[in-house]
Amino acid sequence: MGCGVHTTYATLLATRAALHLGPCEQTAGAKLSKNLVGPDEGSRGGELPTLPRFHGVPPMASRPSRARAGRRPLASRRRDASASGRGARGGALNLTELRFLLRLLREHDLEEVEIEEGGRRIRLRRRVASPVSAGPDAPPVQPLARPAAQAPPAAVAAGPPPPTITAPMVGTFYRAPAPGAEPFVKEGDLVEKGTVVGIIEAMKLMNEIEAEVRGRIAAILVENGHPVEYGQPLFALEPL
Amino acid sequence: MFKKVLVANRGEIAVRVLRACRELDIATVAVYSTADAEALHVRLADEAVCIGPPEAAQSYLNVHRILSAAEITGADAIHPGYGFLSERPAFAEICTTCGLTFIGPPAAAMDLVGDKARARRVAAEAGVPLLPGTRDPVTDPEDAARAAEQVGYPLLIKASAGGGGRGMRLVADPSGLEQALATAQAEAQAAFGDPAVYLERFLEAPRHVEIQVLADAHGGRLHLGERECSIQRRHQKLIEESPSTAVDASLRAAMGEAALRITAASGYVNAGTVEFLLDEAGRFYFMEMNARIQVEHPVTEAVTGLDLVKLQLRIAGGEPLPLAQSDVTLRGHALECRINAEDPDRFLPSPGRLEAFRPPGGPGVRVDTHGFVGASVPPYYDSLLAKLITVGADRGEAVARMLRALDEFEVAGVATTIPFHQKILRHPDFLAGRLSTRFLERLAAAGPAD
Repeated sequence: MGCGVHTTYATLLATRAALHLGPCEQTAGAKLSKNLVGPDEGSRGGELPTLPRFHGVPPMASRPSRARAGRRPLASRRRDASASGRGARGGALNLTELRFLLRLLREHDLEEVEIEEGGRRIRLRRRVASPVSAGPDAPPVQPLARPAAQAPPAAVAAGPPPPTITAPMVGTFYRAPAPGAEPFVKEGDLVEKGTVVGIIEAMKLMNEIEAEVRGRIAAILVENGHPVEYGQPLFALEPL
Repeated sequence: MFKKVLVANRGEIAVRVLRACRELDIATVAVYSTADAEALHVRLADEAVCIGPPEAAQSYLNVHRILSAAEITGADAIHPGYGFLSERPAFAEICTTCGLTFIGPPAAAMDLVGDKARARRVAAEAGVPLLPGTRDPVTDPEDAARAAEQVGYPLLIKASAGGGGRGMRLVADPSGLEQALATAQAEAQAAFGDPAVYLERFLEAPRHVEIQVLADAHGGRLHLGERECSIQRRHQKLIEESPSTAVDASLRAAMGEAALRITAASGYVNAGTVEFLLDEAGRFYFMEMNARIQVEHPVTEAVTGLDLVKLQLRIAGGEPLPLAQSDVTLRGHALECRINAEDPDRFLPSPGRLEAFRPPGGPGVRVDTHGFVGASVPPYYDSLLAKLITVGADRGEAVARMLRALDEFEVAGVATTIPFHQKILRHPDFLAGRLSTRFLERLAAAGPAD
């Protein structure tokens, strides 16, 4: 699970948009992107498909916590409104729109996309790595891999994709053992195989997530308290 | 009515359930394995959650992940489809424990009807005819001879612990009984470690005729007539139709009533199907009850004009049935062909990617599928690719439409059983309605005749 696959890193150049994205959102996992235009619908003579009718990151219902003896009660789960999937139109670029654009890049095999809409301009440039080192759980149908020969020229170094720590289960991701406590890991921390890097809570059970390989935390890809699905990248690692 | 339903399934049935939810303004959540990341049900749902790797045990059968997906999306009900978790009482129960409505029968009723022995007892107590057979195992030849008198010939000696056709011996008349009993017991011991055998009447060439029932949570119950499902290969249905050419109005009423008695006696709620065997003399015998929406439900929808999945949602939402038995009429005739991604001669699975996919259309044609150009047909799941349903004013028109539709249906990239269906639909026995569960076997034995 430690060597999950993620080859697309986008360099965001936003001109007038204010990006309400913390460091953990910049290199966004694409797994929750939803309801996007499929490959056979996208090519209408250069016209860009419209943004999805629904926004990929699901709202969190705050469920009353049914704390039982021996299990810790949950902190109430409030999502950061600025990172909400139901994004503000014409203002900040939200996570859903970002993922949609990343997907456009991938599906149409583009190196760069620039979009101007409603007074903001966004350009994404894609650095393409060499073929996917597919772990056993890598989705076979996602067209993530591109042969090295097609990698764009320029300052982008192609190399094997950095390993990521991906979610082995479905639930809510927490960075710290308890609300208010120090996170398990921060950017730059060294982890070994077996180091606990976070918790995924599901159905009132806390599950510790461990690193499967040695490495340094290069980026945190999911915000604290956000829902995650199976296979979703949680941390990007720099191998040592 | 529910705000949000999670569909714990994939393929065409997931698409079917999502559509019903959409029509009722219910928000939808799809779950998918990594092999289904681009699947149609994922595209059509409002939200989707990846729940595991391709293997069903790690994804579509993974209760924990499915419930977690319901939790993080705030779903308030789960529809299990058919197959997978749809007939697991433990799953129905845990949904309820977690505050999710399970769209289907109560766990206890599901458990009861899923246990063949218990279901048969309930049926017998409800006065529903059962295939004559011994309840307790027979041990010695005298015991067997006495029981055989009751059961009647020809009969099967079956291993109690058995299945898959093993430990079964056919006995045509009393002279063969003793020998067959000894052999069957020895086989049962060898194969299952238990020599217990029982006797059951053997029907030469029965029809498989099932009754669709609906029950709400307020005591309302009704049946929607029968489906003829005799064209089967290794107990997998391939072609279904409604009504059956062997069932007239009075037989329908009798079978329907029997099905409702079992439904009531087992405390069953929501949509279910009661399966019978119909012999050549028009006598019917209870076989089992299926506690789920079935693959072939569109055939009933076509002749009744009802949307069974929406009714499932309504019933689960606490609504009473919106019609009475007297409102149910069957009009016209419907057929369904299950088009599998399989080699049409040897029925071996044919996974791959759909290079071409152009389903038929026009009057009286319905296609329930998850296929589209570019879709992948993964090797991890069942091979059902599309259900092609036609309806007509009578059987002749339904057949003509099915032949036209099969001819129009273009698929490339995987092999399909379309040629097989084209062959059956032209066969004189099929056209004459001469059907039984031995239909395909007899066809194969007759050799390549066409």
